[in-house]
Amino acid sequence: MPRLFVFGIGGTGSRVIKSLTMLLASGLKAGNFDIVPILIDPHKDLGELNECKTLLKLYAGINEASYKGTDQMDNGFFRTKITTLRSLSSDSGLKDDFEFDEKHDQPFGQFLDLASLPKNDATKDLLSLLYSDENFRKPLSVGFKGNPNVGSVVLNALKDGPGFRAMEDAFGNQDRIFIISSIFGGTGAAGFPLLLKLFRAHTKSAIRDAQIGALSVLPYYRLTEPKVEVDEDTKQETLSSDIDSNNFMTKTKSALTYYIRPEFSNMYNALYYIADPDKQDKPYENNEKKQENKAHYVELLGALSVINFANGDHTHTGDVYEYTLKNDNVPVVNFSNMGDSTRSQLGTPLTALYLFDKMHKANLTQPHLPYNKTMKFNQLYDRQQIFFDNLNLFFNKYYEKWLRELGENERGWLPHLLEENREYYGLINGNSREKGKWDGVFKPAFNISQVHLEGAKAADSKSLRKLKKVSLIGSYMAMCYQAVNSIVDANLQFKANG
Amino acid sequence: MDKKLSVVQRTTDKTGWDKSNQFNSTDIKQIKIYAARNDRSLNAIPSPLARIHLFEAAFEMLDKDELEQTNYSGDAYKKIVSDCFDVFELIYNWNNHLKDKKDLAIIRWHQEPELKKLGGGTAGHKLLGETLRIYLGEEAFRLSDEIIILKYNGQPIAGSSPFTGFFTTPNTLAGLNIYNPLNRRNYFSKIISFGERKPEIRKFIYDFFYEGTLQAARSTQIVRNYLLKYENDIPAEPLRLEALSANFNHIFGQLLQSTSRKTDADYFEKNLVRINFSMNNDCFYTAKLVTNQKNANYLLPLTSVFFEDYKAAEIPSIVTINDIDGETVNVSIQKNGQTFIKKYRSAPSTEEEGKIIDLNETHKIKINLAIFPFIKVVQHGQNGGEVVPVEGLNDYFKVMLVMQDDNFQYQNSDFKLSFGIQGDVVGAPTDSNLLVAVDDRTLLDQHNQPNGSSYYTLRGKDKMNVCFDYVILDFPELADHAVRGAIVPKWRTRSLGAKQVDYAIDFGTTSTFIAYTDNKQRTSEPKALSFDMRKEDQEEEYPVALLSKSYAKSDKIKWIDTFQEGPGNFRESIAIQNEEFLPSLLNSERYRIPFRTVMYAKDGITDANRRLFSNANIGFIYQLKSTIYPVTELNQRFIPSLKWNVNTDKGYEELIKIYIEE
Repeated sequence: MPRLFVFGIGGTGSRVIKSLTMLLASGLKAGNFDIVPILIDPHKDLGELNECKTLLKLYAGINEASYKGTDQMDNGFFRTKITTLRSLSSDSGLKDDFEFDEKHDQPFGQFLDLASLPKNDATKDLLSLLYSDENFRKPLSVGFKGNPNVGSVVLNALKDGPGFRAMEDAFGNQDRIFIISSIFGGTGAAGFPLLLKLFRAHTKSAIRDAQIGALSVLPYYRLTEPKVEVDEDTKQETLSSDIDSNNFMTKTKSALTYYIRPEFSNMYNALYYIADPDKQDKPYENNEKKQENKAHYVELLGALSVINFANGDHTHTGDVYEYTLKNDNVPVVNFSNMGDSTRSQLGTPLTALYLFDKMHKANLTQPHLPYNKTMKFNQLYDRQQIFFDNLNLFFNKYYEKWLRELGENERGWLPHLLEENREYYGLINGNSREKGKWDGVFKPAFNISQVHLEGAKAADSKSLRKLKKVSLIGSYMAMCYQAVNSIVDANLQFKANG
Repeated sequence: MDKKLSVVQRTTDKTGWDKSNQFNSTDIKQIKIYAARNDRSLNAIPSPLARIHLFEAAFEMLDKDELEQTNYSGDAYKKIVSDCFDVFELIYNWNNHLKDKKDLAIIRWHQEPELKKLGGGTAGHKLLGETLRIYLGEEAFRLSDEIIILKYNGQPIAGSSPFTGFFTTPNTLAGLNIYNPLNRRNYFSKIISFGERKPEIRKFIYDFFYEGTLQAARSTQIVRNYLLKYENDIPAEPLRLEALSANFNHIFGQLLQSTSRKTDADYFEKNLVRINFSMNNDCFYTAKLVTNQKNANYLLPLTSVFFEDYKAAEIPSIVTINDIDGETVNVSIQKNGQTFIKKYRSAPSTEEEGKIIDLNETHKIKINLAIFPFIKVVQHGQNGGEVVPVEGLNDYFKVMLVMQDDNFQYQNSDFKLSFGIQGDVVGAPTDSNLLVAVDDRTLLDQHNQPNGSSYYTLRGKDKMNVCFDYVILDFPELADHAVRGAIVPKWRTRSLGAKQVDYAIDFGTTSTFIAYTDNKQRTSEPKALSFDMRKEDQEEEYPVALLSKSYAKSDKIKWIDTFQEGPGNFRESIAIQNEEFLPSLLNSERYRIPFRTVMYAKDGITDANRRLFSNANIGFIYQLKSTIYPVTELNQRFIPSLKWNVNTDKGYEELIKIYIEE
């Protein structure tokens, strides 16, 4: 299988990859590519970076357990393979599965070893025109503090690191590259152009000529204003944070002037821009150390750009894509107001994943369900405890939290409205499916019982019985996938208008 | 209504992810920004060369604002553009700043050797070199393989940019104490738009982008677009420029130039010396004085550069000293519609204001000066050209400098005269063909002697004395910058006539008589020599030009006594003149022919070092009742009986030679 190397740079990179993982879990496929996520963030202690890494590991484990040796299954939850770079190049010396770079704690000046340049060195003079004294003094440990000009040098160290070598070794002719970054931060904004330059100047033609896509996330959130702290003795004012989100737009402007140069455009095949600058009333907490920002629908749509890139063929250079919502004045985005193509693309898989969560929970708690008995899933739950713990962890700790955060954020993303678990007629936000007179009588109902019925039907299918002999976990995943998909298909028309 | 999730609203007919167009510069300019608490945004361009790109981005944003009268670019970007213009102003004024002893320099960062050097360095250096190489590979940077770096006091302040000509350091330049004489404030201290800048600067910047090789460079397109708005505000008249004085003065194949036009910093001294007497404007050029203040007397605060560009004789008509209230004095030079002006204040509040140094009031210092002989032999130049001194005939000039220091702080050597011939100034000692010889005669003494005298000559190295156009008087360190003033003699000039004059000297035992005749046939009696040129029908002539103005003559006082009282109560200066130098008049009134054959000489001087006025002179005042107590040094004495003594003591030979010389 060809691979899509997806670079997630900085906080936004991690968050988009998190959403991408959810999309892949829903069964959406990135063409026929395996995904190799690569996280770049010098801010190693960041919760969200570690959360993203754990999620990827969880996903990779679920995928492996579900589909190992089951090539006959084209579709399914967690179907796309997420591979670690380390597994591709065992002797690369990479310490981490997904992390590409190493932690840098020292100040930038020390990182460059400026002290050992002679006193009247011309380069030293040039550097003091390019960087402020403050740039040189501040440690690199907390991102690049919104200084992409610093990041562009520090991140260039990547090319000498084990991660880059592992990628170089593994990169094949059909492989592609996708780079995710934000334009208004520090790390991502620096890393994107740098990686582009490194790839396009690479000695290996497979890399040099690869199709490269990129997502550049423009401002979509705000931070609380940094507090002014006045020193009582000196009366000197300092700010509680180095990051002021009022700068995001100014930074975007400056960076865009750089991005639109023809020589830059010639380096990428497809560049996806997304922003939602003025819809947030409640800003995020301005805390550089934590950056505990809730999942946001812009990240979800950003993740979708990776899928779209993988599904298309991009032989041109310089193509630009943007996202258009169907309706602007909405505080909450759902399937009916987001965009027709997105609705038809995401409606079924995301609803299926949502129902999978419900079905799976019921499966575990209701041993008398027919397929639990016939397929001996009751025993499987115990025997494959690790797998099911992982799946539960995925749903309980990651998926549901992700969904909840998307709903709570501004703008919100709330596709599903489920007050209670049994009836699904009001499931789709903004497009409730009226319960018909004959629903549940002559027509199958749209509820949890019907899901179980569909599960039983699937379990009884020839293909599942065959699969059961190869992989019991695979057959469990396939049964759930078929059950929820067939009930979604029967009740919801995501593909058509309306 | 559908909504593109973008920073700029552009029409679209499809929802979801769909093909769009790359932003263009107009789109980017539309992006509305907010005022932020810091200017971190300035680092947003993802390149180590971000600072260079930023200047281009700032020009583009400002261009849009100016065209549409919007204000999206914010002060941070306006400041960047303004600072860029300031670098051009600094370049424009560069050579003048150098003359003003500003520590400005240009070094070169030559790409290939520097990158190679980094490549051979530590891991950090190597990474830096490799990264710079990646970004310098961009098209615009191929315009030049070097970046020149402007440094002030050793600190880099700006560098060359293929986009905007120059860019400045992100470190604050607010404390950079370098004064821009054109917009009358320190460089980089304020946002000044292109339109607010002086016409010559607008032209200087415009020409930089439109006249040289840069006019065809794609990288300068944005700045050229910006400047195009001002096309009609660019003066047509060419600027007077000269090559910039620096180790490296070429960028992008263009010569960097600096104005050859002088500024007030060139012409004016930093300090204005207030003296407590009126200057003798019969013998010295003085400025036009506008004031209703008493004691508004100043030495001319003019530098040697003034004498390069103007004639001494122009001083009264073009230099004005306007003493506004005793605390503020404006000195101006006005000629042909051009004005240079310098403000001096007792307590200057800005770097550009000069300081008034009140010699007597504040520092208890008094000075006076005299020149002898006060005549220059001249002839018309070839083809009836300008009047020039006759070489070889102006071979004896002596300048007496007397000073008084009532605080007993200084020595003679703290006061110095330098001599100027046009723009060249010779101080002592010097390597040029000319040298200044100085002899201190009466010594300022920190214990008991407030008066001092020094005698100066300007000499060719192997010639006799040389005459000069002006004198620069340097005072002790009374302020931060050198305290000095110019003294410009209004030389009496004489052409050599056809007349031959024969002199006879009767060197008598007690008295000496000098007579002359211009009558070849000797049909008339010889006349006694006298210097009494104050006849009404004649141009006044003086043997000695005294800096201080004499009193008005009245019936009650003799001519000689109009000098006598001394300027501003510095009566001692006249006493010293009479004792050590020579009296202002040698006529019938007091000092007259015949005079006593007596020397006034300093003790302990070897024969070889005996020099007229420097340590010996005719004792005109011998046995004359002086109106003032003797003020000259105690180890000087009158030496009579020269004629007798020479028979027994060879030492008197030298004194007699000097006597005759005088």
